[in-house]
Amino acid sequence: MLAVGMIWGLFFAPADWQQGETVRIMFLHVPMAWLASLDYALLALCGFLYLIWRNPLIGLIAVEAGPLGAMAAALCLITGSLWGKPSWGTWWVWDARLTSVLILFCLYLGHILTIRAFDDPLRGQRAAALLALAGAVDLPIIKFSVQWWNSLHQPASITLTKAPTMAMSFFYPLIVCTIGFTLTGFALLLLRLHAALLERRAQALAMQDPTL
Amino acid sequence: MTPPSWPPHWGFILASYGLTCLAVLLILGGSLIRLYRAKRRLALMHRLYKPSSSLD
Repeated sequence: MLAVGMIWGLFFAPADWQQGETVRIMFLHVPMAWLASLDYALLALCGFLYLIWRNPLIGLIAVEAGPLGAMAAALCLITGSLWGKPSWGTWWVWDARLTSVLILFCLYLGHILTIRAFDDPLRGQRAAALLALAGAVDLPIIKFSVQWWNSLHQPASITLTKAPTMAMSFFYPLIVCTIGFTLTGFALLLLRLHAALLERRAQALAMQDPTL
Repeated sequence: MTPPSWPPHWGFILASYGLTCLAVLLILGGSLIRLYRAKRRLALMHRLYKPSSSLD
């Protein structure tokens, strides 16, 4: 699905009358922004549930979801910069939307580093859960930044309540790419979780028998 | 507004697609290697653990 969406966006979607060919970057930039926000919502939810139940599996999901979200946020910023240069004439502006996504990326880095900063992994996970929960306030700021402040960034073209304001020839490949990246992100998370669970089982076996 | 003709736009587009594909492949490859190593380590632990437990 991801391959179909990317090939559709790169070769078969039409060029935009105003932006020309650079509109094709949208098929990567928008799914990455969506994935970075969705991943952080998952991180905050895991943080909340972890603080209540202290379930190790929930903590493990947060540990494995962090790097994936950081990658999505970094790619969102980089593709946005590569789109901004030909469209706006600049790589970066300290605009509300761009700055709030940069803060999201920093929150991801903070989460990854906090988990690894403590000798006791449980204390690290607790601190990271608190950070994830506090950082969730950035999500509505990202969403509404283009409405609350004067922004160079365009407002949302797709909402749940209204029909999309973009042409269907852009909308369909964008939806396919977004679903493709979401499923890929979910598959990568499951893969990393599987590996982490096997690592823990091996570690538990080694600790069970100190002679090994 | 007309986009400037230089640098070429396809450079930006291909850089975006190339970078995204590279990042996805790197994280996928890294995860698969990690899974392979974890499976091998677990198999080794099972092999080592069985004889020692049978001595008890």
